[in-house]
Amino acid sequence: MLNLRAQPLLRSFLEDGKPGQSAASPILFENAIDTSKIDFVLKNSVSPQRYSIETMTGGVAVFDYNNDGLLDIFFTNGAEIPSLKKSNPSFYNRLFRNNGDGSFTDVTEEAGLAGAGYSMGVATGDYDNDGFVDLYVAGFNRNQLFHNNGDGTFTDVTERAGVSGVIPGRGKPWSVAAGWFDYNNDGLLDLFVVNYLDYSISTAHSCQTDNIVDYCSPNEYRGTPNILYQNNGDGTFSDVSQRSHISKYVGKGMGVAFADYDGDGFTDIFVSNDTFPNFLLHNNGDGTFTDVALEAGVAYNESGKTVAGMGTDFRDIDNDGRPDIFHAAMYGDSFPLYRNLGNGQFEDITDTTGLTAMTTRFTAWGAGIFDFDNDGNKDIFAAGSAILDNSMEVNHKPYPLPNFLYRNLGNQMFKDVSAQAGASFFASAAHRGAAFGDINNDGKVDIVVTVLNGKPQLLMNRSPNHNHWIILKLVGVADNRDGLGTKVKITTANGVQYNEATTAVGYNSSSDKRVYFGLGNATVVDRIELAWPTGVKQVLKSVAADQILTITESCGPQLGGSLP
Amino acid sequence: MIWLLALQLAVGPAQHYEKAKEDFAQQRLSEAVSEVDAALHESPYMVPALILKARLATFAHRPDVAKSCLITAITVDPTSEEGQFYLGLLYYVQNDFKLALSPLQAAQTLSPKSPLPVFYLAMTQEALGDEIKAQDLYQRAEDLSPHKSPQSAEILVAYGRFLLSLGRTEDSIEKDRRAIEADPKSRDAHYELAKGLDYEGDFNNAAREGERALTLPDLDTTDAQIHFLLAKLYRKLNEPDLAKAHLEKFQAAHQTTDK
Repeated sequence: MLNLRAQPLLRSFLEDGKPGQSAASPILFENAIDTSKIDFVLKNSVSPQRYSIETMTGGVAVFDYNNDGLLDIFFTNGAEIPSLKKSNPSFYNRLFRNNGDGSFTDVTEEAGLAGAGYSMGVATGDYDNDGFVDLYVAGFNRNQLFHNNGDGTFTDVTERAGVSGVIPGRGKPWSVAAGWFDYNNDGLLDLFVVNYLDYSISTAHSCQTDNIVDYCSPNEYRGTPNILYQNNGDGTFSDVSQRSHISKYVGKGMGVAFADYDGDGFTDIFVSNDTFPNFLLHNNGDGTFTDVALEAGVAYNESGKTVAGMGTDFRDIDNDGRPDIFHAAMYGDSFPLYRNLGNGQFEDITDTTGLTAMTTRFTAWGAGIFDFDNDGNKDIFAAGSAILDNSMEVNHKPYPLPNFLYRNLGNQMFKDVSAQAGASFFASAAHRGAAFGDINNDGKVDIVVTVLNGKPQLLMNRSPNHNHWIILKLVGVADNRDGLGTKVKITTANGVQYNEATTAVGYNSSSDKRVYFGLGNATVVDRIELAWPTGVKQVLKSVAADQILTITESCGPQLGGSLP
Repeated sequence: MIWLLALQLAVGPAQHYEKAKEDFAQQRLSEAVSEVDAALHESPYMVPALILKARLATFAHRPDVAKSCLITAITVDPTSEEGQFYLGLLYYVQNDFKLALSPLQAAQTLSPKSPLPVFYLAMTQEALGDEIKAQDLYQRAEDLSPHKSPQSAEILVAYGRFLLSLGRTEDSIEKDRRAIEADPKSRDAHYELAKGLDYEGDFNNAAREGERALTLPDLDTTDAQIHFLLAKLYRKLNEPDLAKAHLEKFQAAHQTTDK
């Protein structure tokens, strides 16, 4: 008689719908990279030693650098190893200007954004409130702040601004990502830098599995503290990591997202850590933060285990007014979804939403919570790929994976609709970062996904639904110009929805600062309520759907603010 | 000389194999390896010895040796249910799910009344993402498993976990309850039931099941996992002191995953 213990290690199923659900119009994407004239290959310089940095790069930002109303695209790039220099143009970071006709023009060199060092992540935000969005590039050996001069060029102001990412007494840690937010509600964007492992090319050891060299587990290295830079308002920043207690929490950061999860008026920080408990850094409102992830129930998954946290997003997924947390992870983990219960507590609802079955056998990096079909329920996207480029040899699992799309059914259940999302979702690749925004201003959220050693994917949303939408472009006056951190509530005939302005989404990446709502069949937004970070409240009534509405703080809409 | 030859004949491959089996059962692994090697030295294609060597190689973290032995075994005797099953199992634990299918299916055909090949086929199909096949196989494994045994409890727990991962909480709870009936001392079953009851909002009974799980032998579900769940449950039950105590115990014992 055979008598082995069952080892149900992996649970994974593609969700195939639930009884009683009506067929919905598909969410459909088309990869338009070939016609976009975007000529970019993300180079990571794979070495025989398999330095860990190689598998970690791939940031992308969608932002409007020249204020022409069109989202442009910026990619980070690797460097030569071991010199860690962008020794030739193939390693340059790249900026592509949106021409408005589906094509893009490479403007990297005239913009002065080629960059230096082995770059990883990117964060966009108008830190000096001059109306032009600036760029922060986080990297392994160099972090750079690029000030947008407003004339199509950028200036590297890293040293003057004091945001080089160097930690006094420790040197330059490996930065993976960054994000802009106004932590002290002074109307100026502050900068949070996510750091990963205490790792050096010169001292890195080699790791092997069954005599095959592979990338080391993060468990082989210590973590590093993150950094908080406070904006002084004069073009310089102060490192307040110690004073704010941020440096107390040493992790292995991968993703960062911001939201005021407890509604106290101060923006909080979620950091997804790699094989290490996540951080939920509660903003105490007095310049300090406290990690409450364990008590809140978001440090570990529901089995009390750490997971390989990747890209993250922090948004209200069930329209109850409380921001929830999603992050991608590694196969065997499932991608956790934590529902905000409203009392400082979160509930892991990965199982009950069906996401466990849909995600357990996959690994993903970039991630985002957006309403891709404009039906009023935010869906989830995750950019799939294993970690090791020799994953098949080492883990018997494929390295390239497709992207994943999980439709929010509105009843706290999700459905895997990847297979219906178009041919681009069948294309397996070494996906990394993903950035979200409406590239062609048709009201549907598009996605740009990076691919290691490959061309990026420009996933244009071609969903054939006739749902209505509204996109809000916020202009802060007393607040930060981008309006980041502003909480928005809308009311339509179909109910209430919530969102929050942020560019810190996913892995390595930065998304459009505009705030997106799908309206279903509602042609009017009865009420738009904004709560700006400094406390300014603003209400707009009877706003027509299907428009990109600019809302200037306390001044009402600049155009299209009422029913025609 | 004749005496020595007679002795060698007396301790033939079958005897070496029997001795190896006995050593293996007694966890005398190095002795078992010596004996099974002696058996295979004299009879290189002795299928039971090849299978035993494969099992020993698995213990020694040598899946390459185990695989080689099992492939030889089923080549010599394709009707070896054990050979087919262990090869399928080896592929399964190595995440080679597609390769696991064929030998597990062969083992199922050879031993249609045995629940284990069906059970591992269910988990393999689960890992491959075929929900419909997996559910059918789980059900068949449940039907085949001896009633009220630890084995049937394990099958039911895995079946329940599978259903829970699909968001089918009520169905999952039903399997967990039946697992507890089959094996009241199954820690996994009590833990999984506690999770299901938590999802259903029955926090009191969930906490009771969690506390019960803590008292049972630790095989698969760890103390840390249970403390973590209990901390959450007692928070919901407005028992902050108990929640804090379990959180502290969790922190003392918490695990990290390997990447």
